[in-house]
Amino acid sequence: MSTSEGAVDNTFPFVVHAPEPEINVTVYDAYDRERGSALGTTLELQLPSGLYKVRSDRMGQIEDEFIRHGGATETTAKLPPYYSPAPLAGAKSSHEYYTGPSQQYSLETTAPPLGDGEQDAHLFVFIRAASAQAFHGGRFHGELSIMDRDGNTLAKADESNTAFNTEDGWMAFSAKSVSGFYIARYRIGDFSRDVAVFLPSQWQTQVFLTYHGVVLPQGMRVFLARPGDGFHASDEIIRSVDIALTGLQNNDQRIPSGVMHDALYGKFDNPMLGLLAAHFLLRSEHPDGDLIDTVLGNLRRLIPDSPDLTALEIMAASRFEAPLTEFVVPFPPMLRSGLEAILTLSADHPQLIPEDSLSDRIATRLLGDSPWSSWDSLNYQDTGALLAPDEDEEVDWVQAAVLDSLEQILKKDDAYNIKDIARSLRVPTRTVGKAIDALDRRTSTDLRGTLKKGLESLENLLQDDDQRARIREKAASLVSRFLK
Amino acid sequence: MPQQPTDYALIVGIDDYPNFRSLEGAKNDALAFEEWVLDCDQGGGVPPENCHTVLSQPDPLRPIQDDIDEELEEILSAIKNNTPAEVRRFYLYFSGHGLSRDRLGMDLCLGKWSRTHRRQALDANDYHKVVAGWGKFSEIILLYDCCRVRMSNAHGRECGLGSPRPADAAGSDRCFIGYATEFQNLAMEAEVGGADSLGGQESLIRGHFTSALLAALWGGAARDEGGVPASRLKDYLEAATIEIAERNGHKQTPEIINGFLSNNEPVFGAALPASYNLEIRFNPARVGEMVLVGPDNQEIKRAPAATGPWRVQLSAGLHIIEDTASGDIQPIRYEKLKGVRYVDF
Repeated sequence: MSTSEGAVDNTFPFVVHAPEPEINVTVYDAYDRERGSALGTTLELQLPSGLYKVRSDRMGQIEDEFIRHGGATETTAKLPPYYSPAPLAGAKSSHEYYTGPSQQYSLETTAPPLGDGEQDAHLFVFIRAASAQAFHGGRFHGELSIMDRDGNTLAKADESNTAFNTEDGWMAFSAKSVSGFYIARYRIGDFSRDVAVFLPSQWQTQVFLTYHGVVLPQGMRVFLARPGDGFHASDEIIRSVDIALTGLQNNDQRIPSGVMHDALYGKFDNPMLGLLAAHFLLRSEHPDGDLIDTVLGNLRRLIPDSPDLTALEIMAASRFEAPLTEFVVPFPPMLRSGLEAILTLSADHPQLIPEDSLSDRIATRLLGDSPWSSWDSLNYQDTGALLAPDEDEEVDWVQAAVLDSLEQILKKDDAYNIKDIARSLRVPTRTVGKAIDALDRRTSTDLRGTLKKGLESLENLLQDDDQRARIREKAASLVSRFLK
Repeated sequence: MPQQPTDYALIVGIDDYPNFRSLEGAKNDALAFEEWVLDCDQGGGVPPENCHTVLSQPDPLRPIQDDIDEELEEILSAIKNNTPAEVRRFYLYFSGHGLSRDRLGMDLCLGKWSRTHRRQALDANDYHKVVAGWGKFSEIILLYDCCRVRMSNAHGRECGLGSPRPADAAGSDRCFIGYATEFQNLAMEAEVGGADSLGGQESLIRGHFTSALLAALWGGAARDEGGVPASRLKDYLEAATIEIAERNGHKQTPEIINGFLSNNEPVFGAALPASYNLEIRFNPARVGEMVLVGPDNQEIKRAPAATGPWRVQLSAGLHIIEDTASGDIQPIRYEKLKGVRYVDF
C-alpha cells in the first residue's frame, strides 16, 4: 500500500483479533479517524506509524486500548469489563462469595411455597452488593415482597424466609410456586415500585438484583432454568441471555450473534433465549417470517401461557398484517418492549387490553429505565382489590398531556382525534377518554386559567382576522366542553 | 475569521427545573458556546444581531415554549426575504434536561418540565423539520448537550412556527447533529477548571459533551490551515466525550450524525491546530521511567518519574503518557482551558 507516487511506503500490518463473537472492534488513529472495524472476527489493516486506539464494544460496554504502532502489530483486543447483577463467570462484578451461595440456594428452598395449588414452578431471587467492601456490613434497606396477580401479599423477604450474609452482602429467597403471574414489589421510604414476574410451569425463574444502598431494579436480570438444574455461573446460554439483555437495555439494534446462534441451531431449550431472539428478530427492518414462526413455535411448546409469548404473537401478527382480534393481554409481559408494543397497538385494537385489567391500570405509571415492565406501585386494599383513583387528586400527567394536545390542536387547527393522542402518549384510548372525563368534571379556576392563558397567547400569534375568529370559536367550544 | 453575516444561531441553556432537578452548568455551557459563535478571530463569526441566546431564570420561570419560538421567529423574519444564497448556516445549541422516545430525535425539556408536565418539552425533530422547511439554510448544525433517557409517555411539543407548505428549496440542506449521549443514556456534567490556578478561571460545572465540543472548535480538531471540518468535529467529539466522561468516573458515549458530503463539508471557525501547555504530575508511587508519546509515535520525553512534574507544550492529536514499569497508559488530548492544563498520572 503506497501513500503517494514516489513516497516511501512506511505502513505496517496492524492485525487485531476480536476476543469474542459479540465484540465489535474498531481502530482509530491519533486524530480520531476510524481506520477499520470488524464484528467478532480479525481486523487486518495496513497503517503508518503512529498512536492508535483499539476499541472493543460489547452491546454498549466499551473498553479502549492505546497502541504504539511502529512496526508489524498483532494483538487481541481487550475484553470490555463485563458487569452483571448475576454472579456469572467472567463478570468483573462476580465474586466467589456470591457465586457459591447463588448456586447453592437455587437448588434449595428458603421460604414456604407461593400460592395454593400444584407447585409446578419455582422462584429464586438473589440480591447482592457490588462487592463485600461495597456493602459495608449491616442490613439491607428496603422491603421486597411477592404479590399474587390480584395484589395479595404472599411473602415479604425477611430473616425468616431468606438465607443471607450481612458481611458479604447477599440475600437469597427461594420458594416453590404455583405457576402464573406475580408482582414483585420493592419499597423503600415513600418510593414503591412493582415489576411483572411470570413463573412458567416446569421452570425455575431466577431473578438477580444488585444492591447499592438500595436495590436497583432497573438492572434486574431474569433467567429460566429447569428446577433441578439451578443456577450455573458458567452456563454459556445464561451469559448469552445476559448480554442480550444488556443490548435490549441499551436499545442496541444489533442481534447478539450468540443469542441467535443458540436460539436457532440446536440449543433451543431456554425460553428466555427464545423470547429475546424473537424480540431482536421483530425489531429488524426486514424480519424473516419463517424464522420468527420457528422461534414462536418453540416458545409455545416451552412456555405456552406466558404473557411475553402473547406479546410476541401480537407483535408478529401486526408486523405481518394478520388479525389481532383473538388476543387479550390482561397482565403485562415481563419485557417492556412487548408491553409498549401492545399499548401502541391498543389505540386501534382496544380489546387487547381489557378495561381495569392490570395492563390497563399500569399504562400511565410505567417506568422506562429498564428492559422490564415495571411501574409506580398501584394502591391495593388489604383484600387485594385495587383502590379507585381519587377524583380530587391533582391533575395527573395524562390530563396535563390531554390539555396540552388540545392546545396544540387549537394552534394547528387540526381535527380532534382521540386515537392520535392515545397513540402519541402510548396509553389505551380509554385512558385518554377517562382523562377527558376527569377534565370535564373539573371546575377549578386555575385549570381554566391555564388553558385560557394559552389561548390568549395563541391569538396574539395569529395575524389573520378570519383565522382568529375561527380559532376563537373552536376554542370556546372546547373550553365549554372540557372546562365547563 | 471575518464576520459571517449569512450565519444564524439559537442558543438555549436551562439550569432551572424547580419541579424536577435543577442543573448547574447548562447556562454556563450555553454562554461558552455563544462565546465561540460570536468570536470573529477563531470562532463562528456570527454577527451579534444574528445570535439569539435564551437562558433560564427561576422566577418567573422562563423560558416557556413561546419565548424560544419568538427568537426563532425573529430569525425567520430576518431571512424571509433573502435568497438561499444569502443565508448559509443555522446553529441550534441546547443545554439542559432531555428525553428521548426512540433512537431518532429527542425532546428538550423546558423549565416547567416535571413528571406531571411531561409535555413541557420541545420536540427537537419537529424544530429541525420546521427550520429545514423554510428552505433557506444550506447547513443546519444541531447540538444537544442533554440526556436521552427514555421516560414512558413523555412527548415534546411541536414547534409553533409551522409553514403552510414547505418552501421550494426545502430539503436541499444538509445537517450535522450532535447528541451528547446515545439513546437511553445519561449526559453528565462535572466540575472543571477549578484546579487551574494559573488561569484564574472560576470553578464551573460543564457538560462533558460541551467540554469536548469547545475543545474541538477552539483548535483541538482543527486542520493545519485552520478551522474545524465537520468530519473532524465528529471524530473528535466521539473520542473526547468518552475520555472526559471516563476521567470523571462516568460512562457517556455521544452519537454524532454527520450528513455532509466528505468533499463539500462545512468548516467551523478558523482556529489553528491547538498547541497548549501541559503539566504532568506523577503519583509518588511511580518510580520507573515515564514516556510521553505523540500522535506519530515519536517519543517527546522519556525520564524517571522523579524528574516530574513535566511541563511540556503539546499540539493537537492523541498523546499518551506511559509508565514503562507498570505498563499503565493514560491518553492526553487538548481541552480548552486558559493557562496550563494539569494531568495527574
